[in-house]
Amino acid sequence: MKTNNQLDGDYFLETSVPRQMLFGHSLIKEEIRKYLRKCAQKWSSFYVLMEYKRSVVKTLIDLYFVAKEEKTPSDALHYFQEGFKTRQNKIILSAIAALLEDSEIANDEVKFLVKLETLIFGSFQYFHDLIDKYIENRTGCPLGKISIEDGTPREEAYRKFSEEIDCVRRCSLDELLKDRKGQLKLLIREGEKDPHDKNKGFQEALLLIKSAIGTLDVLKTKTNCMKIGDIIIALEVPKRLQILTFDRGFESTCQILGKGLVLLPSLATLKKSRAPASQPS
Amino acid sequence: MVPEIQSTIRTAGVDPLQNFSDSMSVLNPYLTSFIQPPQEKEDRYSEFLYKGLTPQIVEKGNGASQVIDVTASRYAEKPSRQYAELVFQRNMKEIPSLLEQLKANLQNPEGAKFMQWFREKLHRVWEVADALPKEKVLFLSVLEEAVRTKKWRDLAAGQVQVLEQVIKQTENGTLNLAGALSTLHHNFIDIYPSASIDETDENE
Repeated sequence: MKTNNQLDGDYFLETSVPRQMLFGHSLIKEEIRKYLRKCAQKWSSFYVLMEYKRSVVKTLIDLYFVAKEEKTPSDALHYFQEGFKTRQNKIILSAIAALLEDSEIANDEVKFLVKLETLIFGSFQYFHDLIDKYIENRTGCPLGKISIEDGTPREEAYRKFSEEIDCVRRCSLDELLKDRKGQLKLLIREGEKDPHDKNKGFQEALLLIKSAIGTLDVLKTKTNCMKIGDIIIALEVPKRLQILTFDRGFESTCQILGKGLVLLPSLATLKKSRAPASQPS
Repeated sequence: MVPEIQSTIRTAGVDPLQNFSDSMSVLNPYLTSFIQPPQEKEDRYSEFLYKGLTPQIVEKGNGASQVIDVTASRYAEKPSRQYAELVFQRNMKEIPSLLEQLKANLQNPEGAKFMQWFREKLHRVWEVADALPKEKVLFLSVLEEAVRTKKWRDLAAGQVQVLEQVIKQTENGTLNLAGALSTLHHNFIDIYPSASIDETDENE
């Protein structure tokens, strides 16, 4: 496993990278840019694209419709923050809150809606501009291919996208898991050992896999698929690619499966590294 | 048999007396004040159309001054599509030269005014955005986000060059919105707001 800042070769971009590249803290964006400028080719998968569309594009579309209903942009954001507490949404909402610091947007609902549409359209386009190549779609997940149809009236296109992005289990996830059952057993076996037993994100997914190892079919549900997402991604990625991610859950998975990993620093680490050294008293 | 010509042919809503008084007004312009209410002259020259900020326009004629009061209510109306397109095109044509000067002054205080004038141009187009097609509104929004919270000195010459090209090509119709976004994305021009928090906080 490579956790140092190796800057050459091809990277596989995990979902947190494009998401943070769009809406992350400015220091995080700057850090990602350093890696992307030096990598040869940027790869990803349709599974990651599905996760991205679900966590970014769908969130923005949902917020757009909430904003149309609510009286002010602040009301919309407030309501949305109350209702959705996942960490992926947190940075998107934090970024949009920053947009509302501009009083022209905060006091003008029409302009706010235009800004949301700009973000919807831009974020949709962004992933395709960022990625050079896609790995084989072993899960057969069709959701990554869903698009916002050009030519359809925009709100109608958003409605269609929101409907289609909802999983109806038309994939071959069960086949992939059965095919990789040996690797799943390896994860279970090694996952109980130190330091993996302390990796919270990894252990949550592992617990689910342990309970389903006999009949892997039960993992083919929308909720379970999302819970073991990191493991699915790691199983799909060819060994020659290094996974670029902020998610520490990948540390254990990649180490056990022998996959390359470049773990990007958290915001706290970046801030610490930039803080001036304290003066000795 | 030739039909008899009716002498009482009338145009709906127009009184024959009106025609008569109209013809009289040619001879005596002062008569017009009895006949028609004074009509507002369209303000084609103001810099701040549709914002209610337009100063009073003084029109001189016949030795007297007629004051046309441009009320805010008039400008609250939605501008026509053609007018909005004209404002869009005119400003987009003017922006590249501003960006050219900005590019040459990124390292000195002169650059600030070109940046400011660039923002003002965008602002003027926003004033008529209601009447623009959605694609143009989104493009305008993209441009605004490309320079949001950025000072002129934060920009690199290459980024200004890219913005200039994108505007020129969009204005002349060779680049659509998706193409403009792609160009900005590939050149690392950030049009997205940044969070103040980290999504990995929970894992710390």
